[in-house]
Amino acid sequence: MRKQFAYACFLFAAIYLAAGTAKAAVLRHDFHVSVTQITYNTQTQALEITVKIFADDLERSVLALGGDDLRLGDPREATHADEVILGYLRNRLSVKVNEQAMPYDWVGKEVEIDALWCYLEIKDILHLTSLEITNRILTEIFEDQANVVHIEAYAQKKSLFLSKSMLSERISF
Amino acid sequence: MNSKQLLLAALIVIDFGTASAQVYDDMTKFKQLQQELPTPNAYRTASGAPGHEYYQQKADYVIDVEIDDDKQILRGTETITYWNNSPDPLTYLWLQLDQNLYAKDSETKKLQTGTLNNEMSFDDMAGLHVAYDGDMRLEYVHDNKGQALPYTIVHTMMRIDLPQPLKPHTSYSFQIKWWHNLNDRDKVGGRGGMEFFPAENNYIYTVAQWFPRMAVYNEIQGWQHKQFLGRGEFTLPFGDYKVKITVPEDHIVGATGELQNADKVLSATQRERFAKAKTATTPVLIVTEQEARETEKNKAKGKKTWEFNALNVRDFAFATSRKFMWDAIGVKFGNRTVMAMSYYPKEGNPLWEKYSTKVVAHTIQSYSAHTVEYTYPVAISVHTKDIGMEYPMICFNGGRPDPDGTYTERTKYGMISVIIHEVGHNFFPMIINSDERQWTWMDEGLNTFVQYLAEMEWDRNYPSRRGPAYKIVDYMKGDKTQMSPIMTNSESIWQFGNNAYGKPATALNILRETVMGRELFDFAFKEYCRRWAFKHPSPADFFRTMEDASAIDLDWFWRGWFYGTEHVDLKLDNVKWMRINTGDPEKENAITRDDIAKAPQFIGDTRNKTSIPKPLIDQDTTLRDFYNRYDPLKVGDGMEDAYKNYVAKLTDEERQVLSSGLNYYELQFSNVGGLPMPVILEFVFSDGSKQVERIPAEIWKMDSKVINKVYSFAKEVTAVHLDPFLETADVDVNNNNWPPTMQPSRFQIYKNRDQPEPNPMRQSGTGR
Repeated sequence: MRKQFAYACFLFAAIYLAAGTAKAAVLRHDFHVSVTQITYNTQTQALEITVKIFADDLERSVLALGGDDLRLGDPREATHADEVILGYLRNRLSVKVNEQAMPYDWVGKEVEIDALWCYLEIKDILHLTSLEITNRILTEIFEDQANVVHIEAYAQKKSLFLSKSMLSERISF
Repeated sequence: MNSKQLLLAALIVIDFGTASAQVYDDMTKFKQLQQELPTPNAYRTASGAPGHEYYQQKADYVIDVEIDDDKQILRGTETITYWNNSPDPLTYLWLQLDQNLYAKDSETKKLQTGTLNNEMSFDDMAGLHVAYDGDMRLEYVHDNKGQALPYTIVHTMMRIDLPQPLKPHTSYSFQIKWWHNLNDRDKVGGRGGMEFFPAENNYIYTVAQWFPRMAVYNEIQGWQHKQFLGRGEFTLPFGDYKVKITVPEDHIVGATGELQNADKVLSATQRERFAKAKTATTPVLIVTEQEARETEKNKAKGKKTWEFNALNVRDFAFATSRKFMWDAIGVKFGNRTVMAMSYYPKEGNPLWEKYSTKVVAHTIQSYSAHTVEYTYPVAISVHTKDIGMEYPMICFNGGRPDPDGTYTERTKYGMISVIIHEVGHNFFPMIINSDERQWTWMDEGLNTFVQYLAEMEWDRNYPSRRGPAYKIVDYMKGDKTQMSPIMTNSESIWQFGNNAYGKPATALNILRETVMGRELFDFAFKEYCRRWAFKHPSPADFFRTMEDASAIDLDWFWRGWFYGTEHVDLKLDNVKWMRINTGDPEKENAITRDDIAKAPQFIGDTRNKTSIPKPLIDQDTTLRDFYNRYDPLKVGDGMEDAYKNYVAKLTDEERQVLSSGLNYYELQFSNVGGLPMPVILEFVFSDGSKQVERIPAEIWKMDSKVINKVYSFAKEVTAVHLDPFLETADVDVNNNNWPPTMQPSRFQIYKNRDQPEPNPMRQSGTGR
């Protein structure tokens, strides 16, 4: 597995060096950031998760890891795009609720020109005492990828800044 | 909600618009910027304009350069004439050798951080295996007589020691011969370089930072020779350029400046088309796609030399390839015609032929209206796969359709946006020549702001990424330990894109829409551009000019938005409703009776009405006395006389207030985020009408955390909204309303939608 990944990296290095190292005034986007909003809805007793990622970054990473061209938001978007995205996210964004890893369900997605919005949900959370977020989104292709996570629960707000140097953080309520 | 009553009209006056329980705390938010800004002097005035002793150096270049298409090597010789306009004698000169970024032992590589673990990023892997050897190889540095000059190379900088000090107001000429390997951008990245097209074994060269360039010397920091590490861009003096570019004879060349020898390098047909383009209403192809497709099939043996002149520019870049088609259109500025042009290969079509040159033309017109008029003779957009990089009069822009000729909406808008942005850089920093090595925001932030204006003029529904206040919220509300202020050196910025592009662009938009207003802002912003066009402004010159030209004290704004990292979160804590007690027993007692009747009833009382059909005092009336009969609200017993006496003592104005029937509302706000901002309120009345009130940010001088404010209306207020037009970048809009209302989150809006929105393009079955 490890070996395989290294191979994928090399393959990708050739494709990706330009975007990775060139720091021109404006590349496709001059910064590498994803924003995740996690809100605990006390009425529905669900964790509502919204993840905003640059669509082209995700597409390129999926391609480099041997996946298909997703063409997100395009008339010819891959029919299985939702599954691929969910698979990618489950691999790179994990949520521990009250010290226990919880898988999230796919609610849906929207594509706005360059932004991909993914909606995810974890149901049946009767009470929230702690959250541990591990976010490795796109750190496989960008050294400087920053993954911002805004959390809101019981009228408390907390903002995390996750990156390669700190992939996960735990907060309690 | 029951109204509370103000017992005395006189009280109202005291309560009007004043803050309660003031604490004179935390006044640093409104402290003047005196200590942060440099002391004004004869070079730069306190008003933000160039002073009477302002000077700038000048560097003129005569260059011969050749691109070796077989080996991808650039070889050049240059004569630099450096004009010392400063009052200081200079014993040495500093030049920039930017290509040394690619030296095998460059500082950039040493400074790159990296982690080695079982999940290497592609960046990491790349960084470990770079084979490109790209630094500048100097063959000679000598004076005009061929005498070698001693020089010392310090990474990306070179010091030339002069035989005698260069006195003020004199010039010195010297010559350099050099070569370097061109960088393959797909492999090693870079702003300039080349792209290889393996199918036909061809290259597109986009050549930049390619010659030893003079560093800037000025009174702010002497020589600006901070090393080029890759992120902080360039700082260059103005000068005149004569450049001869030798390339294979089947190449088409686009460059900074005007072509001097069209008769030698262009065919009669091409010259004719070019002449036609000057007055055309739609771009004219000087080299067509068909012609470019034919040319790229072969490789000519001969060479051609293209000659370009450029006056008063801070740099020179060019693009050359046999793959280029070329189109142009004349853009009128009074009697002047500026040629808007594009160079692109077949891989750029159909997008490039349709949009590129039109976007260039729009950009120089739009920016000219918002800043200063574009005075260079040409403005050029050159196709690349996926970068965007700016130089005077020419820029390299990404946006490539798929091989089948279709393209996504993202590719389309990505391309148009990048062209607007990079062409826009002609104004910041090419004309308004700020120090990019020191301050990224001075060119990227200002340019991104005007880019947004140009995008809105292109299409009012343009999907702009940055500009509107609400779009910066996700960044602003983030973890403060991971943020740096806008006023941070280019190489030290955290969250680069949001910090140096997004936040300053948004801040200027907020100044324009909310703090200063469009008229005052536009005047001041243009004044800054006019004062510093073809000069070297510093941040203080910008801050000072914006105030100087508008009479608006903006120190708090610069302090909050440019020197700090706090965010905006204003909160509407509560709303108190009050009416005036007129003192008229007839009116007031009726109101009190009404209030009592409407008041909620204790459940036991309600039940007792049936369970106790007749209490004892009703059964035995002898139990009753005066107090059972007494009705304190009954008008009589001299109440009216007392009222009449009271009214008689009042002045006419006081009587008017008493009988106005106004509703008074005391609003309490708190500043949760810390960044002071204007308080914008929308009152909604019982008849459905609305009224907007705008309170300047200076209200937070009274108390930086909590303020109260009283309003009076004839109508009853049913709702109050804070920041109703999303103009302050308030990160939490859920605490902005009375009565409290929660805005549904994006998640909830999506989930509550019955059907996902149909994709109109998908339905139409085609992307084109």
